[in-house]
Amino acid sequence: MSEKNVTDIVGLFVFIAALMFSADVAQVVGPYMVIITASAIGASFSLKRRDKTTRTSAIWFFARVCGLAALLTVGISTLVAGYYASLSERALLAPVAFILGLIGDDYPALALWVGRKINAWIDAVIRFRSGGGHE
Amino acid sequence: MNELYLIALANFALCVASTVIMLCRLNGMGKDVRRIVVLEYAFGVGAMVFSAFRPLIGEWPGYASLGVAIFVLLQLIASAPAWMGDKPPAVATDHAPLGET
Repeated sequence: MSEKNVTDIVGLFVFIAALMFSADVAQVVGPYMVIITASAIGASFSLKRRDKTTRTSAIWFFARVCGLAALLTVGISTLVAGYYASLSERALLAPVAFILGLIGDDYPALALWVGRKINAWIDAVIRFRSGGGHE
Repeated sequence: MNELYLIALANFALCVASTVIMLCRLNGMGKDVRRIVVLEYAFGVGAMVFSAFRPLIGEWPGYASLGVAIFVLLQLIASAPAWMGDKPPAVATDHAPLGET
């Protein structure tokens, strides 16, 4: 395709499409389709949840969240699948990407929530050890 | 083969346009927007993103897919006056509880 001379606008579009959807690109990007789709749905929910901003900022937010999901999903899925033998990495891709999209920018809030849970758990352990678990 | 590539590129452009419009509307949605409307737009974004890139998994769009993509974009354009300024129309929002008015 690239060896041909591009002489008209249709030829140019065909050339662009051939570059975008070439077999080499498909081999690399293909498996990421499910990740991008799941994270796009999750990011849509988090976009709705956050306060209204400019259109450019909203699209940038969406691209950022999807990009982060594309980067982290495979790693997180591998970790979780290694921990729970009954779960396969392949099956985890979509849910992990969706959750990453759903979190969006709320990592500080998530960290606070996790911190509160850990605090509550440690408190419960201390109470249990110091006398029966009831006050 | 050329026709296949051209349809794929046209489908990509239509899907990206629809996705951008839907993202702008999602950005403008507040807390009072009905859940089904949020769901509609969120899954719309997912479907359009998937449709735009589907030649990468060997699913090449045809004329029918192009028709559907045009229909989705036209529907979004047709509802543009109702969503002027990315403000959800009354039909997309819940009624405010009487106690809070």
